Amino acid sequence: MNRATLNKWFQEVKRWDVYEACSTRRAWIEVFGVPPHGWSLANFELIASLWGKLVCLETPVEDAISFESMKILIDTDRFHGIEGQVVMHTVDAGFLVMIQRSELHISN
Amino acid sequence: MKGRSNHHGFTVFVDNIPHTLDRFGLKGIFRRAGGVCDSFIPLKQGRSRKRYGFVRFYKEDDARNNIRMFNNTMVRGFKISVWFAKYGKGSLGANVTQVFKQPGRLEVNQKGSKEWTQKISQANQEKFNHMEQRKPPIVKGGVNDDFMEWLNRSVVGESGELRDLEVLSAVLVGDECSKVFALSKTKFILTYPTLEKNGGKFGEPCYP
Repeated sequence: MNRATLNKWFQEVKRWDVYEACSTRRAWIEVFGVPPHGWSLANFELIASLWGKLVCLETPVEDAISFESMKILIDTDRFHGIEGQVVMHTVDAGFLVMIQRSELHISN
Repeated sequence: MKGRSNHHGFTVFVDNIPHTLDRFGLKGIFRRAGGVCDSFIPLKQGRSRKRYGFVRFYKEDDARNNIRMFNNTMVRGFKISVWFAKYGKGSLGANVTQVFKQPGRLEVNQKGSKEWTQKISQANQEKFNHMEQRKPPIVKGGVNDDFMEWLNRSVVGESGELRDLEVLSAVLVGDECSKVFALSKTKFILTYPTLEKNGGKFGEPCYP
């Protein structure tokens, strides 16, 4: 076993034990109400962090042409209730941001 | 003992019923899962002024499924709690028969009544434990500085009717305007190459 190679790829390497299992799932959420000046990966990470961990955005922030909504893929350990409202404060205003579960429709 | 389940049914207790829902509405909601025999909402409110009621099922399985399906779910903005109205001689709703016979009045036998009162206060207690109204959480967002640059040389156009971003872009981009972004189907951000051309007309930028 070449530890150096393994360490290049993994943060942690340990012996297998019976407690190892996948505890999360992936889900798309759609976020409405984020203003253009708050349209950033950091802010979407912040919103996603309420339910899980951001995996990726449907459209990269710099490619945005519409600020109606953003679809985010999250990794979550929650089965229910991945939706709700968040008040996002930026500079001097608060924005009511709505989050709902979503499907990603791949168009070609 | 001729068919207890047929005669009495199996009664579930429903707590925090929305004020806009009468006993027929209550029955309608639970009918989705099937097997509803009857429903009842006493005029009297619970100690915490929340409305409660009963739904009776023909079959125990249906009652059980409904509890599983509706307990802690939202009905017209109210989070309802559902469980077996299990009082009286340890049976599943045997003493509630009279309740359904005389709507508007709550009459159960003495022993049942006492336990019933206990059940209600227990119910209220439990309800407070998981029923606080949640306010949306607040997050502190940052500003996208890269976007601020072009936002500060942009104007917002609002249309009385729905517009298509592609159509608008095709018409507007090139004639001074450099790019069009959508805020909604009726609101659009029009970006111009320089502030001077529009700054005068539309006032100072938001964050200079």
